[in-house]
Amino acid sequence: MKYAGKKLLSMILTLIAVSFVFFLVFDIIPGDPAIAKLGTNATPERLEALRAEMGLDKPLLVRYINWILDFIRGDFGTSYSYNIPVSDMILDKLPISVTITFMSFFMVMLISMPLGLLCARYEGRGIDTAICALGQITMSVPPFFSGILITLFFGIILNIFTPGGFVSYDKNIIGFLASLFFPALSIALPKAAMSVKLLRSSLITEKAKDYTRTSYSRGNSHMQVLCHHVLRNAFIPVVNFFGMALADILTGSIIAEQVFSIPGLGRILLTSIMNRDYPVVQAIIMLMATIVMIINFIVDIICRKLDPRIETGGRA
Amino acid sequence: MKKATTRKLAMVLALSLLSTALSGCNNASDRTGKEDSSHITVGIAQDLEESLDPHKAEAAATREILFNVFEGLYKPDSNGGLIPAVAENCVQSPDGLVYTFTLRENVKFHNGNTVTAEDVISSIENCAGTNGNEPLVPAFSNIDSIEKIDDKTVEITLKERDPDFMSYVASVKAAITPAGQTDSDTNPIGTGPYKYVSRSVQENIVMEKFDEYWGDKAYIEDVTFKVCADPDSLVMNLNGGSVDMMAHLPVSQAQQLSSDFTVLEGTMNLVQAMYLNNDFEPFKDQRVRQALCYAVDKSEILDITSDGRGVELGSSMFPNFKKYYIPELNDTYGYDPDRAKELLEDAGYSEGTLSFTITVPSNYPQHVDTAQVIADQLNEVGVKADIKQVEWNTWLSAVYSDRNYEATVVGVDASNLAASAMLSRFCSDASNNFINYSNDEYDSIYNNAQMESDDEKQTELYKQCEIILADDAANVYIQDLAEMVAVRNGYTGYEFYPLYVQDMAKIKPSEAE
Repeated sequence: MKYAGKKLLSMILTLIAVSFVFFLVFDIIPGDPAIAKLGTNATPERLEALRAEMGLDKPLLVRYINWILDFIRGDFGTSYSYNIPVSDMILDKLPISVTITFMSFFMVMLISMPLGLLCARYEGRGIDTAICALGQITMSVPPFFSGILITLFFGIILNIFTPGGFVSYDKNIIGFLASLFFPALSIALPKAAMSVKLLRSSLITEKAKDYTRTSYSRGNSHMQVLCHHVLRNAFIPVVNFFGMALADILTGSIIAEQVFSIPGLGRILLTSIMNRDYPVVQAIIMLMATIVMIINFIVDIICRKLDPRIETGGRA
Repeated sequence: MKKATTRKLAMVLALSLLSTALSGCNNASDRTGKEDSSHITVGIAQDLEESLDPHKAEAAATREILFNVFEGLYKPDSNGGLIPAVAENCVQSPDGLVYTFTLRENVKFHNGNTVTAEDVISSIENCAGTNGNEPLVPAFSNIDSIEKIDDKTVEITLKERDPDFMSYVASVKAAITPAGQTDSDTNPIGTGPYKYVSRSVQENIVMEKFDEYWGDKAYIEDVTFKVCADPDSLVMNLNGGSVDMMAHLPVSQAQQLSSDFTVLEGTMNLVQAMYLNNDFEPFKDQRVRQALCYAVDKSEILDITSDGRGVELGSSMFPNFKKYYIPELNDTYGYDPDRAKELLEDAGYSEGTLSFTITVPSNYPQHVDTAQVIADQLNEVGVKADIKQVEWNTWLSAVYSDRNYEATVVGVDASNLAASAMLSRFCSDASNNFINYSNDEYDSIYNNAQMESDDEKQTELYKQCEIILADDAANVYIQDLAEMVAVRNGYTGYEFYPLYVQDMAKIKPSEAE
């Protein structure tokens, strides 16, 4: 309980710090939302009127405190550019980004667990070497590039999917999942390669330990030993990695969304930064920061479950 | 316990496998809809990053889409003329101050209501700012009063004569919307051939045919404007089949399209130039500006950046303004590097002593490319031009608002079909005179043109303004960029407008011909 409280407090402090830094950054960078909105039709009078309407005529600290108070009340404000509530915008797009993140995450697990086990089982043999070599290559291709390759190969040459053929989730859920499959794959590939490598080395380390020999001596088969005994212990560094990977995938989806023309949170984030649409940017940043912190928290708990020796209290 | 965990894990894996497998086989069904030409997906390079209230529409990209939903009392046609829309006709008083509009019978809003004189008055008042706000259409601050004569007649009185008043009336910004509507930001209701259905931020805008439209009805039932923000994946979207039509394509991309598309060529209706800050010390000297004009080879720029397509320009007017455009001005300064060197020498800049920075908005590759060719060409006459790429918003605030720059390459377009849309910014006191141009002769001729009531004389005066800009080398004029429109075979009827307009009501399936 004490641990959870400590963790919560540190999360709140981090969020406050994150939000303030972003407020400050947007105050410093050139361009302002009123100019962005009026474009070449701007006149000094109209700019002034619009700034007042957006509340930008107040000093930084006042704006920040107002924003925090509204935020706590659950009011994320109204988008400067679209004139619609930020919460509506985010709620509309959140399912897209969440789906692509989890899809990609499951792909990482789906690919890395069997391959990792296989490599550890046949350590040093042909199959191990082949997978490791392939992994090395996959790892070094950045998602935006593999994205382009995948689109070219599966989309244009093989014609398996329509490039840019995003289908909205409220129209056709299967089509929606289908349109996210290849983007998710492009994010998953390098992460999967990394986790194969990690899982493999972690398994090999554990395999050399005494308890493994004991378990063999009790007549267990190779796979039984690996899956039931070694895997559990080898998992701790891997879970930590998965936690980081999940956070990475979430942020990596911003790039994949660009390459595959998917209108998710990442796209809104980027265009809102361009348009200086601060309320939207702030809300998305806070959301992402919160999700990353929650993931870390969950990872801590899982590690503690896997290995009660871990003193979670000290990690806060 | 151990077994349970593994089993759960296996379940999760199996489920995700299933979902991926399912998703793999579904795509075939998505493609079958393509043959059906009762709907069309039109690619747009950026979302309408604004509210959908036409009176608040600032970006050309928004107005060109909302053109399908909204109409003013008048509206532009594809020849550059103005045609009656919500109004049936308009009579102007001899002194040019009073405009009497007769409303068309039975024009319906998309919500089913008939347009009344009250709707017209409230729309115009909203644009004019008579409700105490800043005027949303700045030219409407000139409106003295607007009165309802009877149910079908509305009279607008101006404070001062404005020969361009009707151009503003005909713009999408002055659209007629229902009086008293409170949700105009999110629920646009107009009188146009298409009615708004839905929007999803950064994804699409959907419209459907309005069956009770007063004029020629649209051919295509549903139109989806799909945001294709990434220029690299654009060609893939077109060739891959998710987009049927796309305007404003650069030449390089149009060339990569498959034979499924008909590519139409037009111009972007803007004046691309290296705009010079006339307050920057070297550019205060006419000889320096002229030297830059002589040093730049426009045809080489066109060849390198767009395969020779585009129309070379010599002043601030583009060809689709047929009435005012003077093609000969393009020859004011032929390519002549020796003459350029002489002029620079005269002005006191021997070879290698003049250097300046060209600030270019990085989101416009066509301007960045042109700037690069210009910099190379200037280098040959001993002028050093550095290129600084900035983000669009930085450009807006630093270059356009603060005028804190030396030279910039951009395209300047017209918001309506009046000559003033191109020429007013060069008056020394104009608030949008971002090049700090100041020429007494220009100011007085422009003012005379604005006062002139005889159309022919007025046109002549506007032309003189263009000639001054050319002779005085106010800027280094380059071109009106080529614009390619790709239309999938199966659809016809695309029409170019001299303004930013994508008129979907004219598009029809081929078999309907």
